[in-house]
Amino acid sequence: MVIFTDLLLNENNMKTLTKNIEITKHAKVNSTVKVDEKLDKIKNIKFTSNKPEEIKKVEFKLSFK
Amino acid sequence: MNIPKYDLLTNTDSTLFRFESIGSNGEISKGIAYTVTKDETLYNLGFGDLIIDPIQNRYIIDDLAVSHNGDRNTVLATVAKSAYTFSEIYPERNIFIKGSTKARTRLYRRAISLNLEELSETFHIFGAMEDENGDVFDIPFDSNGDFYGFIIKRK
Repeated sequence: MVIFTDLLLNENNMKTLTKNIEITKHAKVNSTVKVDEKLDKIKNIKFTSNKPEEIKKVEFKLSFK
Repeated sequence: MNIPKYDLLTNTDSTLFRFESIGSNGEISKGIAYTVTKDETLYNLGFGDLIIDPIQNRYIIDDLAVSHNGDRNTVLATVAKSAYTFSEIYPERNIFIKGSTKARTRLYRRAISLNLEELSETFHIFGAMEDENGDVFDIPFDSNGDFYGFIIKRK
């Protein structure tokens, strides 16, 4: 229950964060990009798949010809 | 791109983006992260549902999630918009795109193919192939190519 409560709190915080920026949620051709400094706090994002880890090991030999 | 897109929020250095997908299953937070690869000029585009791990108090991008939110084209167009923004700020950084599954990589190939003319106004687009050693090299993009991934390079 404690974990569930924490999750709700976090979700509410995320929604509050979005509302504070006042972005429009309807899709439109000329959508906007706005800086939200609160996103700077998100570090070391993990991915569910192992794709990023796999890609980190790849040697790229790029020529762009 | 003449397709509706969602508004994006980004961090200060424009390496992390967030938006809300609004569809038949409600509102789903999506995250897009650009992370450097072994090649410091090449950044991997990672994308999926943005979720919180309350136990470890960290964020996770679930790149295997299947949302069925009925707004796939809008979501893909929004991800493309983030690539335009990222590469506008960092034109020297190339973007590597690969699906978390082979089916998604094929979906991205179709999406690129359908919008190739418009994308090509801004980007050089390459297919990525693996050689026998597992190294990855670029070749010109082909709508029918069976690629490991894709690389876009700002013109």
